Amino acid sequence: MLSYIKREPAAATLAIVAAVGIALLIAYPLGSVLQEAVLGEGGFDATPVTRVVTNPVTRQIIVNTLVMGGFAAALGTPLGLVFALATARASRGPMRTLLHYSALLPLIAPPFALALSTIFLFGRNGLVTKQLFGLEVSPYGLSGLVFVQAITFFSVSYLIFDALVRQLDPALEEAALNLGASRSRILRTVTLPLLRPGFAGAFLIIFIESLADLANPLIIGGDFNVLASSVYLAIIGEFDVRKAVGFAVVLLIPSIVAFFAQRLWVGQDSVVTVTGKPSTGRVALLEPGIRWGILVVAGGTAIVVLSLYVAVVAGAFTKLLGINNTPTLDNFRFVLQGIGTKAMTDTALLSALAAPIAGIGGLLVAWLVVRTRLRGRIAFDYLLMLGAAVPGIVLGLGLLLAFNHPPFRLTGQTALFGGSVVFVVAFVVRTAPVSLRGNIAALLQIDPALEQASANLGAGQVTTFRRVTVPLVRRAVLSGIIFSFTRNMTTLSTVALLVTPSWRIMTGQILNEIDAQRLGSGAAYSTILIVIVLVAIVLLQRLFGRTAVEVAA
Amino acid sequence: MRGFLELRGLLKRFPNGTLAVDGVDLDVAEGELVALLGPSGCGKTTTLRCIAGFEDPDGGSITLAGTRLDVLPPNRRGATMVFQGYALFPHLTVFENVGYGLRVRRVSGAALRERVERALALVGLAGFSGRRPQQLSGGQQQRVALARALILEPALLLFDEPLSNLDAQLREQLRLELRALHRRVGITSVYVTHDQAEAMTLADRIAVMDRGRIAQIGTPREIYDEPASRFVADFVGRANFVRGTIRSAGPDGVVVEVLGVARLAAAAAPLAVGTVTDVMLRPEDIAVTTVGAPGTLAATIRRASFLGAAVVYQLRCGGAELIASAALERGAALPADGSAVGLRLRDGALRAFPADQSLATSAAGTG
Repeated sequence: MLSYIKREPAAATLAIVAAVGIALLIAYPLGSVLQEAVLGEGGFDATPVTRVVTNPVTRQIIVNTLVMGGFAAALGTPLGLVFALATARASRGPMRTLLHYSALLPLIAPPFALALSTIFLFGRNGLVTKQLFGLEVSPYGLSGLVFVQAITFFSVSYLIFDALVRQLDPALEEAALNLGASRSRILRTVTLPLLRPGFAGAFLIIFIESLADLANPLIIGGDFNVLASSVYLAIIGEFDVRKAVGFAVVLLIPSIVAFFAQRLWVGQDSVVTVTGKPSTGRVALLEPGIRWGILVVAGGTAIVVLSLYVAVVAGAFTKLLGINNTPTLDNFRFVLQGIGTKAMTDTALLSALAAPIAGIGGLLVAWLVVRTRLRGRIAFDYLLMLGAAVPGIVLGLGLLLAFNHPPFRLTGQTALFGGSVVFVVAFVVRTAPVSLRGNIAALLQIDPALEQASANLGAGQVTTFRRVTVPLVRRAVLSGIIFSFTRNMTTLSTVALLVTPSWRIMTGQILNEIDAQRLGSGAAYSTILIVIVLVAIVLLQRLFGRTAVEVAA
Repeated sequence: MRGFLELRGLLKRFPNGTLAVDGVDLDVAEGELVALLGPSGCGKTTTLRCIAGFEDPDGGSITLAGTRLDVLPPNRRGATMVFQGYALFPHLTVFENVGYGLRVRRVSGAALRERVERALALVGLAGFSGRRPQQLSGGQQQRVALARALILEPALLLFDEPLSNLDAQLREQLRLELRALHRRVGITSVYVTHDQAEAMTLADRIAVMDRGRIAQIGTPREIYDEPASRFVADFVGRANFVRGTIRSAGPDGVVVEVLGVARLAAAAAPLAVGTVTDVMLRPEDIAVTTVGAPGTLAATIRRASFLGAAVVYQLRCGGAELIASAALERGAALPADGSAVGLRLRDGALRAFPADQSLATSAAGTG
């Protein structure tokens, strides 16, 4: 170690800082959850966990969670595939652009937005269900939840299959055609088998994302309780820490398993980078019937996605969409004159504070992992990634438990800076991993000879990093920062348990509004959030001149 | 001889256990250009990267002008390198690339400008300061890389196959330019290449490397005319190898019975009378004449190929396969395949090596 410090002094210093940071901000909070789960007054005591598993009521919650995740993944995965085939093989021009963006739109939706507009459109007084068709249906419960989550998360499946379809060499399908296979046979025997690697990955990610989701189950779950919402309700409703910890540990298991499964099986850096235009098919590779089938499903879904967005905005500008459709600015007036302005500035301030820390922190750890010879450097990668891999509500619970007592008094009534520090910590831990992945990918593309040339010309590690490395990866750093900002603005699950009276978080306010049945002002908040996110993404696009949504995704 | 640059027992083991550099000793005199020549995987680039500090040797020492280099970090070694892919900073202009090392050394303003312009003029790129590397041709990028290394007036220049990315014609031109430039600035240099023509044009001495060791070091003449081993003879130039038997040994060499006759041969190593030996014969040392001429060996032409500057003959002579090459007089007819000819071996053309049991006799090297 001593010789290492001598050879790479900057890297050694950075490694120590990063190790302390990761230990304190990720390992310690998650460790606190585990500790609370298995340590009681008199030593080992895992009753919080065993109680959740054995009690029939809570066991039902586990079953609910798995059923919800399974259905959402089973629906979202093929939907993403259909969209990928639609954009790559079944459409071109503006039609393809429209499908492409409607598939990506849910990625930037703030939580609640889609659930809220689902209530507007398909609720008991839904614009579509009641007003249009006169149906009496309730979106609350499993079916509504699965619908909203499939719509929210199929984008992930789309990105995976889209990348696979683009990698597909059209020559293979042309060869099959040339050998006399019919187009439907090619789809069945060549195209789909080649896309097979995507299914497991897409299913796994949607399943996990769906399990970790807090907003949709709270809004539209009704009596259908899942683990994430149970953690939240245990703290907010009953302030029963041990109960919350029991749910959290059970929720943590599938996420951790999936995380390692993905790193080990799917490979190191399967970063889905979507660049340029796909090669438009030289020959029509789809049977007309299949082509139209794909277009109808994708187009129909796109219409649903777009109308959900329109409904949020419409809901914000009407008295109560579906019941009283009078246009009004009252919702915005209520939001902006009430706590809304403070929530906006508070959230924006904290998000903006955390974004550069996450972006640059991700770069520094990426540099440690890719460019130094530090032994055990891969551990930095794994541990930092954990921050994004665990469900947000579990991380939030961990932060709450870890930092509510001396020496770190960051949460609660008497917290340092009114509890603002823990928000910044939560934002950084949650988004630095994304910056890490982007920067690792960027660094791997840079020939190490460039940094060696700089050293060879006399520059030390710090100078080389500043003068050569940073300028070459600045795109990755900047997109990491902007991504962090937008994600910070829209996250709920991580910060839901950390709310304080002194700092207002927009997503928390939306939850309050919907709880109080003020759907209009909830929609107004959501609209403001969507606008903020869109502005950030347009900014990103201006900076790089390419599809920023994809960078952010 | 003690060198300006000294490598002593340099050792580098790769993580997979292979010895990339296996005890290399090398002395380079001040102002000398030594080429490390060898096939890929022979350890030449690893040796160079150990000198630059991009690899940590597992043993041995590197000394430059009396100072231990191997204990210094790469940025304190004062041995600038011209990289294989040039490694020009894509985000900087030509001026900023060339001036990079000086800026690190806190040179700025007029002094920086003046020295960068001078370095660019030296490589024939005056007026290119404002360009980006991507806007330059391969040859121009190579010159920028050279200027960037030269501007620091280093004690030692390192070249890592700097011409390998260029097409053949440009390579030939640049190697002459590099030679002239080295004569002018006289910086001690180590030059890694797998191209023997490049090594022979540029180097004062060539170190031929094989499996992590230096197989032979000497002037281009010595390497070609007096190869120390079968490997060197085979790798540098083309060579025929024919099995022979030592009949007598004396101070001038050995008498060896080969191709059915007894001839005087130089010996690369002490060879006892009666031992079997591999005898080397360069293709250009075999003259193809009319059959039955006095003092010639009878042979058959299997195939004669016209290559422009030379004709290459594939021959069969006393059970051995031989390659011969010679210039064809203008207008002369190419001998027909299958025709009988006489072979005349040039005096001093034979060189005897200890027999390599692993190789079949009379394989013609294609290096």
